[in-house]
Amino acid sequence: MIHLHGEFVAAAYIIFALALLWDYFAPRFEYRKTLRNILLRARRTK
Amino acid sequence: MKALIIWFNTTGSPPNFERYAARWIPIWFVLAFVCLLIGTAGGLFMVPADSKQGEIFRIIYIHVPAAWMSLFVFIVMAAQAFIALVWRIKICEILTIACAHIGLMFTAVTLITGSIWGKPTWGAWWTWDPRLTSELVLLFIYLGIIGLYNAIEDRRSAARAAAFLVLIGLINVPIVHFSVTWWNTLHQGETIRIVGESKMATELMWPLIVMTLATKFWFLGSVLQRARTMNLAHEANKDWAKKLAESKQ
Repeated sequence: MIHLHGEFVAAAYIIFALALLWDYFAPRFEYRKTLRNILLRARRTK
Repeated sequence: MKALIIWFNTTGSPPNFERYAARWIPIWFVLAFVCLLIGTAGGLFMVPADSKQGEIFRIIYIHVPAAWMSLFVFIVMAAQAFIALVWRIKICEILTIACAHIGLMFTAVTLITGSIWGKPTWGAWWTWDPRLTSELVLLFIYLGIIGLYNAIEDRRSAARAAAFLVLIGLINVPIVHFSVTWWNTLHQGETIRIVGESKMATELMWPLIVMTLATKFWFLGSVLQRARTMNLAHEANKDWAKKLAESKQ
């Protein structure tokens, strides 16, 4: 008898997608934050 | 060889690395997204269900590439760590730590998806099987490398200390790989071989190859993006970083 286990398959793919999304966006936000900090520091020292 | 050394030194300079990363990141991510779409569609909808496992086998199309990446990233990270320790190239120190975050992500995905597959197949979310345990140790090593790097204030000393830990942790890579051969395990043995005949049916194989390619392209894009961010943070006081920040305003 073949079981579907659709919820297990869906859960695994959702976790994979969430991990990739975090890995894609987290460094991008950090990069923008760093650029903003550099600008603010440059303006303060002017 | 001389041209390679010149390329390595030129690309390794922080402003050049920023330009190089900016050019290549979109290319690797586009390739990764295309392969992910094709591989996921193939794995979920196109290939037939496995005759013994049924639909649950479709998890292998993410579990296996993630598991391969957890080891592959560690080997790349160890190569970077070795170069960073021997030749003290700054960009290699940064790449080592960038690799650790991606390796951690793939190892976590491997363990979680494996656990989800294990519940309906083995009847348990977790078992202290040699393959599972050594993969969990790999996760702790990745966490240890990131933790050690963040615990030391001076970035260059932190990177060197983390690089030492990477080289010590390398011993776990063959243990994970050969755990299914060296010990009697619940985890299945080697199914897919680069050299020799694989035990997996050919018609089920193609999404796995596409997803493997996707994770490799993803790694290239992600490691450049993470290293680019760290590189900019390290060079925040330099003129090129200020000019870059102003140009992106």
